[in-house]
Amino acid sequence: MIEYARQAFDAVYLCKLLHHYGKLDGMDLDWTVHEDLWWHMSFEALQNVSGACWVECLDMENKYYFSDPAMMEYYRLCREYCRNFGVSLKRNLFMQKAEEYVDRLLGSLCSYGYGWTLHTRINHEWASGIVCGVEDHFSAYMDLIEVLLRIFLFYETELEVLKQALSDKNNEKTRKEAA
Amino acid sequence: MQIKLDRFCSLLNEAEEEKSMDDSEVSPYLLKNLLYPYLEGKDIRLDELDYSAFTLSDMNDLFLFVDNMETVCTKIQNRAEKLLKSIPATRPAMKFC
Repeated sequence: MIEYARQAFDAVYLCKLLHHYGKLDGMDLDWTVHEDLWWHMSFEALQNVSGACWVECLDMENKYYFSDPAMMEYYRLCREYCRNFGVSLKRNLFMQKAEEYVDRLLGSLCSYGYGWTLHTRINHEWASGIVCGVEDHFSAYMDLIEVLLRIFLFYETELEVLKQALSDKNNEKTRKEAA
Repeated sequence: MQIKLDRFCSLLNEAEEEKSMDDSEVSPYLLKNLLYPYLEGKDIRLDELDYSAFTLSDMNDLFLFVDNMETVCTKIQNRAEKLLKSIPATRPAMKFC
């Protein structure tokens, strides 16, 4: 029994991980702990890491598209930041910070057989998002789930920082106009 | 390998009882509600666990404990297999005729 315990408890770890990031509510927990459960749940967990997810199952690869309202709002406000501060999108510190964070975290997975692209457009409802291609021999699903949870938490947290920066700028503008 | 059963039994009798593994570093909640019931073959339902009662770090401690437990179990199993494979030695008996 002990030789299966580690694998069986991966499902509990996954639930705890989602609980830690406030994403457990969307999961089906009507299961008894056993060693194959983790694989079954990982697919569902991937679809719960962000506000919106689409999956395309191909022959040797699954393609996921993750997006989130906080991420959309973040990139919308990045444009506003550019207008208010007179900087280009390329030189926008918030744009750079997010891109670096996403690349650093997704680049840190210990497995072959995956890739990603960050989309920062805002021309439709879920235009900003992360395309993630995962091949059959990819083996770091738990790490991928954890990294995506951290990335979408980053957008939520940094959105508040960005809002504050814009609010400060607007206050400064109002003060100058009044003077 | 030769084992003198009477000596073996008296050594076992003299030995102090102790836990084979120290579980004091593992979350008591996870021991009571996950590990020990699982090892006893009981069903553990995901929706009956209280995910606020332990941390991710507690889960990592549990994984370490399980790994160590598996190593200890393998060693015991190997010794038991060695014992089982050994041929019993016959005692010299007196001839009556």
